Amino acid sequence: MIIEAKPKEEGESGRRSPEAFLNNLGAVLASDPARDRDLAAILADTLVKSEVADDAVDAAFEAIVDLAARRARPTEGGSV
Amino acid sequence: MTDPYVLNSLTVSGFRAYLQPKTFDFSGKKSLAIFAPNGKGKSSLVDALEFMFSDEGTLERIGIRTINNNAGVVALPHNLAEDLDIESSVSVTFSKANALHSGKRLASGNRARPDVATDIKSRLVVDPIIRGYGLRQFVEKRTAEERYEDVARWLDLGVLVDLQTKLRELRRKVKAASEDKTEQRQVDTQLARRTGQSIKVWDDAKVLAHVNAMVAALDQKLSLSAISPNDPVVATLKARADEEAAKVGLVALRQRQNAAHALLKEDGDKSVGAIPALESAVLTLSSAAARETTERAAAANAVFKQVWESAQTLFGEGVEAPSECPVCATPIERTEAGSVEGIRNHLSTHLKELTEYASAKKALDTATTALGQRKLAVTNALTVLTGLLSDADAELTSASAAYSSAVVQTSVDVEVADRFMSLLRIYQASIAGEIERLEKGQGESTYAKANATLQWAIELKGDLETARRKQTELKNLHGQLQSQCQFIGGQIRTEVQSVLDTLEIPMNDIYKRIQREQAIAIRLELPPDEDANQQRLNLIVNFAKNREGVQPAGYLSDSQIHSLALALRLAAIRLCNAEVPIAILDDIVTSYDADHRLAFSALIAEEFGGLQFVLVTHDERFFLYLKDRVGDQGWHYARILRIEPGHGPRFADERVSDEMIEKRWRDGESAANDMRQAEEEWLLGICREFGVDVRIRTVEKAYSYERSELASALAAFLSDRKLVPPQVEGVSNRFLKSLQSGVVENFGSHFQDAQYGAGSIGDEKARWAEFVAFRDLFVCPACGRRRFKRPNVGVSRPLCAAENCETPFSFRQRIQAGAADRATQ
Repeated sequence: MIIEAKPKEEGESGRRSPEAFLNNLGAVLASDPARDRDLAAILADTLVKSEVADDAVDAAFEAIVDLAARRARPTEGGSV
Repeated sequence: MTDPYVLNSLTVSGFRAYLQPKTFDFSGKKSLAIFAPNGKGKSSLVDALEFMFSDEGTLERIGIRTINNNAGVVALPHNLAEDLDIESSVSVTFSKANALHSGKRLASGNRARPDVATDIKSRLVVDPIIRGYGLRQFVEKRTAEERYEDVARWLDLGVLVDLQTKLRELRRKVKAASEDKTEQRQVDTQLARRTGQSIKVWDDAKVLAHVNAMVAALDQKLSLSAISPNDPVVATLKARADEEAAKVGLVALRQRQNAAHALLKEDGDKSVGAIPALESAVLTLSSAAARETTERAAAANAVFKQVWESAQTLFGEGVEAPSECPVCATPIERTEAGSVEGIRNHLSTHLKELTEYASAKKALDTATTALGQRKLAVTNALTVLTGLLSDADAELTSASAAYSSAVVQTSVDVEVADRFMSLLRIYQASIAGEIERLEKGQGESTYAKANATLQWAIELKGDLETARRKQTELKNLHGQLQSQCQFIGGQIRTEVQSVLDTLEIPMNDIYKRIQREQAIAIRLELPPDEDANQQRLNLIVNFAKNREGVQPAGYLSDSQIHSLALALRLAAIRLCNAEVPIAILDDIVTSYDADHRLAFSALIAEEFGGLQFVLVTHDERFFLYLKDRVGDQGWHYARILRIEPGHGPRFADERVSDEMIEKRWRDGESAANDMRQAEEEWLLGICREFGVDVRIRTVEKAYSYERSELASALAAFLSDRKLVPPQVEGVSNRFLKSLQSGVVENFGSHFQDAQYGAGSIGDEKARWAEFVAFRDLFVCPACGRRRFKRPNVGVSRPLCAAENCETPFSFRQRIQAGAADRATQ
């Protein structure tokens, strides 16, 4: 018995789309208190989502470096 | 689900092996199988489809440029196309939801891809073209990483692959940054420069000793215990520096210098301060006002903005526009614009003008506001400066008042401004000179310099500590990033594996259908990996008890690996290309034996009715099996007989008729080639209808039938069944024997006993008469029809194909003399 071809659209195939998967994953990351929430928010805002900018890696990297610099300053710091 | 694209027709002209235009019509029967011996142009058809959909307008194996082993795009057109003024192109028509979409792609010059091909390409998740020579590569050559990427993209999971790639890159960058000590080295560079290279790397004790040496030269009782803003000596040193400055009059001078610098500070070509800022604001306002005036004029007629915006929703791109004006009901073609496209251009132009005017107006408002702020800054700074001036500075005071008044009124006279600026620069030079004279008089050892060095050291230490803390934070964040990437990688892995499972089952089903009892189920497996975002796809087979979980390559036979790759590709095409359900197969059964070819034919017939196929093969047995198993329903079959230099592939459905041969003779031409084709066509037809067993050919002739081979098989078939062709009056009737003996195998010498002798038209006519006479013997003895079918079980002779007849075949013993007469005319 060979399984019939399944269409790609979500719902008809019974399979969630990669975009829906990513958006859900981003939300899970950003809301999990067990993680570094600042970092998770950066990942969710830049990379772990369906529409990713061309320079997303650079944007994420700069945001992480900025976060490190902010935390390094004695009078400031991000929440962990 | 959207309606799929179905190939409706394909036309190849001046492309690869095809010189004269040839159209393949799929409107009646959607699938096509072509048999041809090697080198007869069958793959050119697959090339045409690859070329049509390719991004670069070429074939993978020839590339774009003629370089190294690549032939380049110059190999796309037929080599005679240009000389014969035949266009080199491929044209397609696809149907979709009862509408036809056509496009043509030129193979020389501008090879732009038509829109329909671009749209179809975007909907093809898996490459629909499978070539036999490339099949094994997926199993044997592609790395596990490449396979993962291939399959993930087939399954529409490319966005997840991209995320994994990006996360890997991000982790690399963050790791590198966490190990980078550039900022700390910059601190050391400054330290070395300031201390005259006596301290090259930050050392708390050495820097402390350096600062304390300066302080001790002023007061031996003062000594810092640390480079820290909290050390009590810091406050003492600052107080003494202030006291020292006040004593020599430096404080008041610096106050005046700062007030003057607030208005204007020049350093080479660079000028800063309230006055340069004001001048810049005036220029900006002037430019903004000019632009606003221009745009206002352009948008003067833009009073119907709301109407135009409403109209744009009706006439936008991709919207079915109304046929008449929605306000006055004037047909669109009678409006001033004249067409929907004209209206779109009209709307686009005017709405753009409105947008640009709005932008210019906003810029003017911003510039006006900025100018007010700059004027206020200048007048405030002038007030501070004049408050510090003495009676000796009366001239500058007067010029300042005039300048301030002009600034407030925004009507700065050039002379007023120049006089004030000139006096201001003289004043600044005078103050600077006085400060320099006083500082020199103090000597090197001053509290001011000691205090400045201490403040510098405290600041530099702060920078160093910040850089170190930042590096520590980056290391922590890199660790956190690793952890979060592992989480993301795990989630993706679970997701991909669940989708892989949907491919694994149909792949194994197809594989088992081809390989049958020899098939061992293959697993598509994502192995656990040490790198969170480095994914691989393994093909795993439990080959034997002591060879479990091994890679198929090296354990499976050639045929099995071939089948595995084919099964994976076909399963992926069927699963993923629902919007363009087509499979294009080029010689994909080369490593199969007869059983596997039969099994694959049955598979296509029974399991792939939903796909459209374009299939070319040089394996006639497979071609015949396919025809037997699939039948004519939805398929048509074609044979390429030969390739002609001035034409291209010659198909068997371009059958040679008796009239064509006679016309040749009337034109004084030789018909030798046409006769040969006609004889081949008839022999193939009668052998197929009679169910003649053709002997297994030698390896050297594995994929080609010779007339002699067919003739021998037919002669044996007739002899076995005691079917003796009667002699025909007037002709020698040695047709079969001449073929069996091989004396007519060479073109142009059909009727020569010497194999390489030159033929004549007279010879050809005699030979043709002999053939026609022999062919005419094959008629039903009962009804006279000429179509037959294979004998049923228990019957040795072929049967008449007519439904109401089905008489076993036998030769009529008495032949009408007229038949022979006609044949010889």
